[in-house]
Formats: sequence, C-alpha cells, structure tokens
Amino acid sequence: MSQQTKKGIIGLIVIALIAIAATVAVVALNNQSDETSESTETTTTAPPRSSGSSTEDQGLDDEATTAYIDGTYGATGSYRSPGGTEEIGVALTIADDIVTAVTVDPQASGTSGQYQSQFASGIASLVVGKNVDEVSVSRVSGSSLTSTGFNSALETIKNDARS
Amino acid sequence: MPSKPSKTTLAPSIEFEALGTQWFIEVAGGVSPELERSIHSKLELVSHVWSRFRDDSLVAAMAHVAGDYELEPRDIQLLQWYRTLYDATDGAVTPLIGQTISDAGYDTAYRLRPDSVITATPVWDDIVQITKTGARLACPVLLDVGAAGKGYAIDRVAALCGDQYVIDAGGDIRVSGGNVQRIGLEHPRDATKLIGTVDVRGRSICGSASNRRTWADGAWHHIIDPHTSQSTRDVIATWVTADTAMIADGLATALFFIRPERLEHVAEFDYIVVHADGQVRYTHDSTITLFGEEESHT
Repeated sequence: MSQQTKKGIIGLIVIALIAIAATVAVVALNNQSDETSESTETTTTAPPRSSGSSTEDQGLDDEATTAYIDGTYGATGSYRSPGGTEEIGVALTIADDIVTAVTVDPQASGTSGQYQSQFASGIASLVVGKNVDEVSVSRVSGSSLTSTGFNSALETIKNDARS
Repeated sequence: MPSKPSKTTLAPSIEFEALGTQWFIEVAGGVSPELERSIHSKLELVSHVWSRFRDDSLVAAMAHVAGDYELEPRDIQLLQWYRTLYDATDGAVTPLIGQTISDAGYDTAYRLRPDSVITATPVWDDIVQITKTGARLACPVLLDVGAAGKGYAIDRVAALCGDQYVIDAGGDIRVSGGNVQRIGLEHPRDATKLIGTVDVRGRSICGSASNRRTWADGAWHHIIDPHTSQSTRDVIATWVTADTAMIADGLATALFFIRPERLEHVAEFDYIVVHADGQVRYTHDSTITLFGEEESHT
C-alpha cells in the first residue's frame, strides 16, 4: 500500500480516537448525555471514564478528577488494498485527560510483522528518462536487447506485409 | 544491437549469440580459449535440455512422451525453483505454459499468429512430479522455462568464470563480488533513454518487459497469464536484483502477476516495477537511483 494511504488511515484513526476522547471529556465537564462517534473502519477500545464522573453527577463541586483513567488505549483500523485486507494499529496514551503519545503499529495481514518492514518501498510517479549518452553506466538492462529470434521474425513479418 | 561498452573493463571480453540473445562476458585476466570453449559447451548443454526451439531437446521429448525423465541436480533445482514461484504466484508463473504460449503464436516457427483456440495451461500436480532423479510426467507436456531459464544459464556460466567477472546476457547481468557495475535501466518505451541506474556488486539483475516481444498489433505479448490465457496488462517492465540470476529472473517475471510483498518469504531481493500508467514502485535501497523530475535539468 502507498505511504499516503497508510498516513490517511492513521490520520483517520487518530482523529477518531481524539474525537472520542474530546467528546467524552466535554460531556463529563458539561454533564450531558453520552455520545460516541464511530468510524466504520475502526474498532476502538474506548478509554474508560474514571469512576466518579457519571452522567448523573450534578455536582458543581467536582474535585480535580480526570474524565479518563490514565493509560494507553488502542484501536485497529482495517482497510482493503489491492494486496488484500490490511491493518494498522494506533495507540493513544492519555494522562490527565491529555493525549500525550500516539504510536502507530503497522500490521502485516496474515503474516508476522517482520515482513511488513522488509521493503521500504515507495512510488515515484514522476520518473523521467535521461538520454543514454548523458548517464555513465557500465551496461544497460532492457528489453530491446533480447531475443534475436523473435526480432528477426518480426522483421520477416514486416517485410512480408510490405510485399 | 546496442551494447554499452564497459567502463570498468576487466580484460578483453568475449561476445557471442546463444539462447536467442547476445552475451557479453568479461573475466579478470581475460577469457582464455579454454574458458570460452567450456562456456559454449555449458550453454549447449543447457539448451539441449531446456530449449523449446529445438527438436532434439529433452523438452521436445517431454512434449511427446510421458514417463520418467532423468535430470541433473542443477536442473532439478531449476524445477524446484519453478515450483516455489508457482506456489507463491498461485500458478501464474509456471513452466507448463509452453503449449499456451505456442498456440498464442510464440512457437518454434515464430509464427506470431494466434490459433483460434488457445490450449489452457494445465495444473502442475496433474502432470509433473519432481522426483529425486528428475521429473515424472503423467502425460506429455510442453514446458517453457523462459521465466527463469536465462538466469539459470547465466548462473551455470558464472560457475566457470572464477572470482571476477561480468556476465551480460541480453540485459540480464551477473556481477561477481569483487567489482561494482553501474547498470542503466532502459526506458520500457524508449530505448534511447534510461529511467535510472542500479549499482550491482556480487549480485544479479534481471529485467523483464512486456512491450518488445509483442504480436498481433499488441494484442499479445510474451508474458502470458495462464489463468486467462491472455497477456498481462498492468505491469509493463520489472527489474529484480538478487543473489543469483535464476532467482532474479524468476522474480522479475513473477512481479508481472503479484505484488512484491507476496514474494518476501521466497527470497531476499530488491525490485523496480513500472506500471502501464507510468507509476514506478521500487525498493528504496541506496544502490537504486530513479530519475525523477527534480533530478532532470535542462
């Protein structure tokens, strides 16, 4: 999959997690009813809210309790790519109701994680040809140099076609 | 046919035609007459076993008669490598494609006109069994080892050439450990241009492209998908560097059918894959340079 697609998916997951965290934090402060946002592509372990900040709590004299228990929470996003279903894991660390860390854990689908990073591959869509004379090379690897039999057959056919 | 002179010539080299392509071989100290003879001998041996284009080869015999065939260990290894590729590509790379490609027009006469009916490619286990001594055929089958055969031949020749050599067989190149060769990657659509370079030391680089050997107004090219009996469309050129030419050659073909990630368990390799829409995917290795817009200067 492309790096851009990966980043896009990671972005979506992070936004989803942060949105959930932010939404529920606002809810806790304003004592409104619960609301969660969900992305169809992510499964989320929502950060558990601290005990003591239930929606029934009307008290104005809240002590400095956090809306979320400090900790690390994870989500896995899955998506379909030409190579099959792929997954990326994202973990958020929350301390004092603030997201203090985000880690991304690419997961190879179906095989162990070691294979995922074996290739650092990318797309160079703007490949520009340089003239052979401009480039210093020992030898050239290319298809025009292969298959003398085939090439002469093509020549014969072309000649026959002319007559 | 253009052949760039070597910038780091080891010694007087030899050039000749064999297995349907131009060979260039450089060896430290020069290619002696004995070495030259043994190289020709070895290639004749490989051709005598594996050529689809001669009627005295083992492949020709296998196309007519079922049964047990004895093969040398190295030839058995080639078949085993094909089995690995076959399994990794869900049967897309297969040596049993001979009749299909022949019916399509790429036959011994280079007819280059497809038959109205193209024989479907048989399933490996229906026909071929690799044994300790060779191969057992349940019925006659026409094999084609174009996918990895040239690389295999290069490796057989390399074993004769000592420690310092460069072997270039029509753009499939094997370089010994003692020296580095900067190899230009020919633009698939313009033979006067290169799209990049690869520095090869102690490795092989093999390339495959679909757009040269075409026929029937481009409706067919020589890389055929056995599942559809049609030529592939999306990938137009590939290069692979690997430890041996047989591996690089086989993988360069496999990359026409499947993504590189699906071959990671098969061998260690680097790749460059050019798609029909102009996109290029490649391993970001320091030995590989592709010419992008920011590199071109007027």
